[in-house]
Amino acid sequence: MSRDLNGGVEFERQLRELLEEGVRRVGGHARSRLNQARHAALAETARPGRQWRLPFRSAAWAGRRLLWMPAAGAVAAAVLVAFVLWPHPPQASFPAVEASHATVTDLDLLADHDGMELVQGGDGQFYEWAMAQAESDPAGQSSGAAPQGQSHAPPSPDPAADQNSG
Amino acid sequence: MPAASYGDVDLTDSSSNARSRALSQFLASIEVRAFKIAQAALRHEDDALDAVQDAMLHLARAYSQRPAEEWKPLFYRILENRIRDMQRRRTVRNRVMSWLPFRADADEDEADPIAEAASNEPLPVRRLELEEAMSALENALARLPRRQRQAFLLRTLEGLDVAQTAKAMGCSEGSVKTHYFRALQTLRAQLGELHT
Repeated sequence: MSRDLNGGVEFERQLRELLEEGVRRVGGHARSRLNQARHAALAETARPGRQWRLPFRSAAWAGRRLLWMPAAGAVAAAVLVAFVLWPHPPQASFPAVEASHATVTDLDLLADHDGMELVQGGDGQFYEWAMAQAESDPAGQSSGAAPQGQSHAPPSPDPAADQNSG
Repeated sequence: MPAASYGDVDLTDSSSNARSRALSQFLASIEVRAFKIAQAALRHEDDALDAVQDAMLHLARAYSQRPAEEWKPLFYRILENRIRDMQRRRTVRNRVMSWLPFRADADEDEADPIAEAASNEPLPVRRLELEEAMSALENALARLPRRQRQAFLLRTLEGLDVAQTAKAMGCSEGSVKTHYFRALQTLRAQLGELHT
């Protein structure tokens, strides 16, 4: 090392002296707080099961804690408002909406006497027809005209109704 | 091999009273220096006192049963963690405060006007020089990188050897030497020759 070793050692000695002087000048208030902190720490060793307490916190620390509360509240409120006001992209379907829609359909079905007959009296033919309809016209744009040779009239679950309509 | 005594306390005495006395002696021996080290990093007396108090409590709570010769590096490691937590919290707080419309400095203790009042007594030249040198050193220490400051203060002020400093800093002995040497170089460049 090419640095001036004597100068380096002397400089370190000077720094050490300065630091020691700083230690000697620590005031009574700080020494008193350190003394209290030491006793609090020793009391903790005597009661290992106790919850941690910091009994000699400074007034500044307590003040900062009080200051943080409204600040944290303001941040939380801002996040909530931002979330509510943020434009959400429309989703294709919401399960909750579908569920409510299904509930409304069920209610309609229960209230409709003919519908109940359809459900209770049908032997599955209606559903087969409905499936065939959906397969032949997937876009749902049926004109209502059945192709020749293929009957698209829904089979009535009630044979008597067919006779009446014919 | 753990030391069988600390100060005048015989740690082979299995009573918790002996260990408590040893811990008390240990804490009393380091508390003021620890406070100065915390103050050099935090530049705030109350924050430094809080950091030292937390470190004392943590050591007493978690490590008082460890061998006494481990206490010092452990204590300074805990203290450094507390200092870093406080510095981080302070950074976040300053960022939040800069966004708030009101500027709250209510956390700052009100200065005691009597204590702050300038003394009419003329300062001796020697004392004035010392004050200036100490102030310059504190400013230079505050500007040092964290690891350099830590290595420098633990070695110079607390008198830890390289191995203990490495333990306290959680790094290798080689790193301690490097940090310490760079700290000295930086301080010398900033302070020049001191008049002490």
